[in-house]
Amino acid sequence: MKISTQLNKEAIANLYLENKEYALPLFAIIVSFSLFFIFIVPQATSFPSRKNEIDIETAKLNKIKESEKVLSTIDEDLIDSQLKIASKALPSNKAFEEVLNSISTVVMLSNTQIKSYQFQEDENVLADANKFPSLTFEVDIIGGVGQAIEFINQLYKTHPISEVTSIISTGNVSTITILFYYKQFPSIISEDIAQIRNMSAKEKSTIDEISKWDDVSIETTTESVIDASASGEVRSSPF
Amino acid sequence: MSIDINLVNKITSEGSKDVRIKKIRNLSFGLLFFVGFLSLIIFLANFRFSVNYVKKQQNDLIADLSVHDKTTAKILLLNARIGNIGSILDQRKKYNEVAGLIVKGVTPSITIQDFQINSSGISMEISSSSLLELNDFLNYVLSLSKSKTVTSVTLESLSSQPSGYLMSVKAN
Repeated sequence: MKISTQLNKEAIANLYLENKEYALPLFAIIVSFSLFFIFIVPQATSFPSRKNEIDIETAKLNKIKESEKVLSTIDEDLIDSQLKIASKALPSNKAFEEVLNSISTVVMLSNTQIKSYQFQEDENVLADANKFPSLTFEVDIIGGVGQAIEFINQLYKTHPISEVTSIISTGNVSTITILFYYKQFPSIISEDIAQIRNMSAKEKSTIDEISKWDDVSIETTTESVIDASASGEVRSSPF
Repeated sequence: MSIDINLVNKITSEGSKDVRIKKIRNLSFGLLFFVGFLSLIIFLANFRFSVNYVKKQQNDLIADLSVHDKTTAKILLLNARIGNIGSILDQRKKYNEVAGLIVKGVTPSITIQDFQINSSGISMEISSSSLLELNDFLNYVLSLSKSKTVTSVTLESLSSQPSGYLMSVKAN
């Protein structure tokens, strides 16, 4: 048995000595195959998924580049004035003063009279993701359906933005339920820069439309009220 | 008799071994080079087309644009606001237009006693001394269904009173 083991060792040694020139190339071949299957194949197979991720990030990068172009050509004064108009149309908080001024202006423009009004905060609409928080005003005007319609026509052309949810007209009194919307400004993070773009045609038409609405800023309304009182034709205050 | 006679051609045997070794060496070098080259390509591709590389470019660009932070904020706020306003304008109910169309059919001899319009529909009570006038008004309201202003019209009641006739109509 011992002889056999020695023979085997000798045989292996002899085999090695006879073929030692093959050892290094064979080792290199084994290492090459190992590297190929351990590193290169997994990298190659994961490439499509990584490419998708890269494509998404590249698209984001391109958007930022577009934003850069928009920023370089933007008219800052125009943006200021448009933001002012948009903020008037949709205030960032419960703009009671603006709402009351709006109703006052609408009363003057529609030549109606307010009998009474009441308001409440509408919390339920917040549950609906498509809705905005609002102040609900219930306005009783003296007049029939025709006058209620005229009141709403004017209301829909006045800041801040509103929606009539009900008209009840009985005899000579019409009750109009109005939602005056508001919405807080969203928080902005640096990554949002990729969202900068030129206005779409629809957005331009929206800003054009609200630009034509009646301004109910306090100065204007005060002037209107003074004018109305002086003329004696229109009530100075609806309340 | 010579004992050094070897029938195997030693030169031929060693020559073929050398050729074999040379082939294997070439193959091993070739494979090593191939794997090394592929590794280099993958390294360069990963470096050039890596998510981190693109993100770095994004961050560099964002950093460059940070001087416009104020303008950026204004534009984003404006876009958001205009989007919200557009959405409200698209969705808001135009009861004034619907009511306006219905009132258009009310002739001077008809009096609107009661009128309601809300999410559940339109209901109204009208009175007139002329039954024909009420009939014409009802036909007018029915004709509005052609323009999809209303989808259904129901005559709720029609009663005679000392002052004339009272008609109650519901529409959706």
